[in-house]
Amino acid sequence: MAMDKSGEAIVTCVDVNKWYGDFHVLKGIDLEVTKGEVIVILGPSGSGKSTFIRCINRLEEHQEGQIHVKGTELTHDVRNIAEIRREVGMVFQQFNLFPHLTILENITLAPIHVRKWNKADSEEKAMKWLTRVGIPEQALKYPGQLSGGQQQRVAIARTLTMEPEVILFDEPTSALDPEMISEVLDVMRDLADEGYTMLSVTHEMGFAKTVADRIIFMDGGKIVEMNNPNEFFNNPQHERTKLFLSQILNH
Amino acid sequence: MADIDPNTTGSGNSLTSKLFDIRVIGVIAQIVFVILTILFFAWLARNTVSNLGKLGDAQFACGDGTSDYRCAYNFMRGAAAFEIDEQSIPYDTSDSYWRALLVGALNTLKVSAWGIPLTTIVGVFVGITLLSPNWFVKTISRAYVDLFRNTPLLVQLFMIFFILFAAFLPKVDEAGSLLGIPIYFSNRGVSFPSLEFMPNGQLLRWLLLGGFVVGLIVWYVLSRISYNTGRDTKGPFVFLGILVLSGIIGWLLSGNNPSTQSIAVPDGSAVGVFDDIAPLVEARLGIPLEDVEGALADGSLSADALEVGQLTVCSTLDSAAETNFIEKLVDANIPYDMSRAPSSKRFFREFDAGDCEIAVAETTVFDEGLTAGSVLTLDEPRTVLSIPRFIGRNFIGGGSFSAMFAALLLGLVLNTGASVAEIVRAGIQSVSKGQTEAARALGLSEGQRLRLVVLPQALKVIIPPLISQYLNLIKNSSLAIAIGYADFWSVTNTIVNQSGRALQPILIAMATYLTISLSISSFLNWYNGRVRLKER
Repeated sequence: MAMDKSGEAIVTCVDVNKWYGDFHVLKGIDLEVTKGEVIVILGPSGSGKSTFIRCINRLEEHQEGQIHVKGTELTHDVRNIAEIRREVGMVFQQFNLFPHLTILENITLAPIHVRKWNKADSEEKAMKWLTRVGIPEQALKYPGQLSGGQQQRVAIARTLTMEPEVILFDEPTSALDPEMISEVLDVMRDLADEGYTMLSVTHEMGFAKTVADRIIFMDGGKIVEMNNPNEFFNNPQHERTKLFLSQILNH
Repeated sequence: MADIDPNTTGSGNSLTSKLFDIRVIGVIAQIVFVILTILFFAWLARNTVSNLGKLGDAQFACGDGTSDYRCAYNFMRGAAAFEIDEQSIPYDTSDSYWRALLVGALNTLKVSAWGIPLTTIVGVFVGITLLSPNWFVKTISRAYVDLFRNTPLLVQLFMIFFILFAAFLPKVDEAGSLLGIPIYFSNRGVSFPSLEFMPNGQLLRWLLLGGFVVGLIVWYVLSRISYNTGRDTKGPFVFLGILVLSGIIGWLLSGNNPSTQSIAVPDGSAVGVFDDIAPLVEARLGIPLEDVEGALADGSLSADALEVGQLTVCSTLDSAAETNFIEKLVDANIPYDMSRAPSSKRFFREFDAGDCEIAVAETTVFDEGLTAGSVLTLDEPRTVLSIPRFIGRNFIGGGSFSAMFAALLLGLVLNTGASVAEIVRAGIQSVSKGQTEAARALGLSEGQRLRLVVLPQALKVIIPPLISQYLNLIKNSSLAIAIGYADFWSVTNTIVNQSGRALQPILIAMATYLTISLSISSFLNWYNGRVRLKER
């Protein structure tokens, strides 16, 4: 994968607003994600960070503003939604593997039915990714037979086999036992090194510091501060950011 | 603490403390339960025997003057002597009670065989619409489910049969065709055209049926391949191709046999071959046959004159020969009147009495019982498209569903469908939201999401209660008795009333329902086991 961080915009968000009834969840989010960039989104719970990344592949609907992915605007047109979902992968907090399918079937389901690749190619690519995340021997098991960390690595392999342009991580380590967090973070770190475009909501400060190109801090539905990790952690500009960092880093 | 006897727990070793031991209590309770059960059944058996004794030895008459318990079912061989309106196999009043029961059982199976697939379609469809984001669709579905789940089935059947059908369907003689297609709805039921296979076309029929089954299997295999490889295997087209091919082969192979059907004419009849009939009738009416309809309309031919001049035909019930012959008469514009005898005995009696100029039946029927007159062969095609026509007081020809059957089927499907819809809805909702989100995030379409991710997981929640709904449908079909559909229970009931014996027919009924239900539930349990195995 090319280490090309030279500015081709993959995701562009302009003045994105969202309401749940009267509750204004996202208040004018502007963001441009360029190819190969790794962005970590931090913020207290309820700040809208998960809602924001879920808007990018239309798991949540935004009411105002524009979201473009690789030049396709996310509208109500189902063809646009389908096109964008093909290019945007997502890894969930709860893994969300399909319990009725084997690990291999979990991974090849979308390549076969969405990408329309044939079975052999799909399985070859699936096995390549399973090997990459370190568990090729689990291919014929069912999700229920795997540990949480293994399941999350399968979920990552499932997402990557689709060869997306950008991968969204929605708190990928929050549901894991502490000893399994690092095995997932290691995989994510490798992906970042290879130049994958990633947006990650996480509470893993170590990961944010060492891997992110940019850190976004959200609170109350707004982007409060956005900076490179060094500046962000050592020289936060905003009072809210300082408070947040002091609460987290004191432990 | 070291010298406590390990065999005692708690308070000593006395008899009372043993009685409070939970293991002893368990054993005593079981013994008491077994004794009570035996006593209950002994009382039941004694009571039954004594009541049967009071009814007298006639209950067990052997037919040779003696009576014995072993002859309890002998009366079932006697003539049933009651009519059954709807039958899938030949039956008349001289047939035995056993035969009558078989007719009833087949009617129960018929309504169940239509009901179960239709219920599944209605239930799955409504179950999905119950979760529709569209407010209108959701509300309509909810209203339907609540209405049919919260009123008794018996009331629904009365509503459909005595109110809906009576109010909205025309009387049988006023039934109009539907959009020019010869499908007739009336308060007696619905009549529709049907393709009848003549004995000559049986090979065609079986090949078509075989082609249909083979086609379905191939389609299924192809869809598995498509599922595995993502390639479009064009299953529906292959299925159609196999069906058409087997039809062509069947058409070519069949139809080379001599005709199995005949018409008989009395001695001295002017009819020697089929083509003699048209000039004969034409001469009697005095106008060309193609003008008959117009002449009737403008009054130049009276209905009475037509009645005198038309051809009179005798036939037996719904025979293939009759269908074939009638369609030939219609093709040749020959007006006719037909009387259908319920049995071949009556058929020959009417023919011998000169009630008709022509009798039509299978050749073998004539071989058995024709005493006078001559038999002419009837040209027999492979298939005949039989169209229902209003003759006398009823529709003849084509296929039909009686109003009773239609009402029962509709009631059972709507009632059970409402319960199935709730089961399907609950099954779909039991699949976590994360599954839907993952499917969407991977780019699966809504249809793929439902088919590949949600339904397979919902199925293991859906199938067990679904089995009991299917069994409910079969058992509830016994309510047919209320609207006069001759199902198994209705026939059983008639036998009880007519024979004066209650125990035997009811035991048969219970055994029969038990057999049907257990066969279906064991099949579906097997299927459920297969579905469940897919996930560990």
